[in-house]
Amino acid sequence: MATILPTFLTNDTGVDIAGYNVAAATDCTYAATTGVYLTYTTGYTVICNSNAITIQAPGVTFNEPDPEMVREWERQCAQRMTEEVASQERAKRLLLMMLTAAQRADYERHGFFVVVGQSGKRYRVRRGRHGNVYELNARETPIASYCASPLGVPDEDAMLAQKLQLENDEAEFLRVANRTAIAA
Amino acid sequence: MSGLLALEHDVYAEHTLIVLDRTGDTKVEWDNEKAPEVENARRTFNELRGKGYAAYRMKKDGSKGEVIRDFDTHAERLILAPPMVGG
Repeated sequence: MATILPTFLTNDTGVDIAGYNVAAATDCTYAATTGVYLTYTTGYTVICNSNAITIQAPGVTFNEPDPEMVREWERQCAQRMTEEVASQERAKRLLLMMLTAAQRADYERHGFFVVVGQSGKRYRVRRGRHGNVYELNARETPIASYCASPLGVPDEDAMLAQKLQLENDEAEFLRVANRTAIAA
Repeated sequence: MSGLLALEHDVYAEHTLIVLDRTGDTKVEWDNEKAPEVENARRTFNELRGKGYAAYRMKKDGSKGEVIRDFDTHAERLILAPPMVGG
């Protein structure tokens, strides 16, 4: 059984399917022998074809899928993965263009960069999008993490949005973000 | 691709609206001498602002950002980011 990332779903972040938020559905699997079934940890199964996503409640047996439908789904999945890679590369180019030389060097070397909010507080923005913003103390040690990001964009777009808001509208970021203190 | 190489390959017009989206970004360029281009950029800006997008005015090199609420025809770069959602 091959495990792949269902790119068409990870891009649809925030979409609620049968009470399950697909933003967290990175653990679903695609069974090459049984077809286009994505089974979530909740027990719900998502059936995908060219123009619809069908949700099946737990405990229901499926018929074997049409092989043609499987091939079409695989083709679409490959196309979406290609598009997702391209979108990530575009987002990275834009982020790098908007960073200072020092931030760019940090990001290329360490996978994070530091921004200074309007208050003077320093924040480390790590690669990612969830809980990836850390408030730093004077010793550059994280003292809290913040979770807030825009939906439906590649990670590096989300990081750019976080940087822009921290630098230019810090109060709004702090108002929206979920803060978690980090024990010393 | 290294960051520096990436920067060399991006060419922008004098005035560009950059919308962060699922494709990475979509650019809307305008020339202040061409009214339809200005109107297209303004319409895009206003539509997305109406959907809660945050708007930032930047210099070409990404410096001197500031939050704006109205379309600025003289801006070098405008960036529109989808609204933040707390996790």
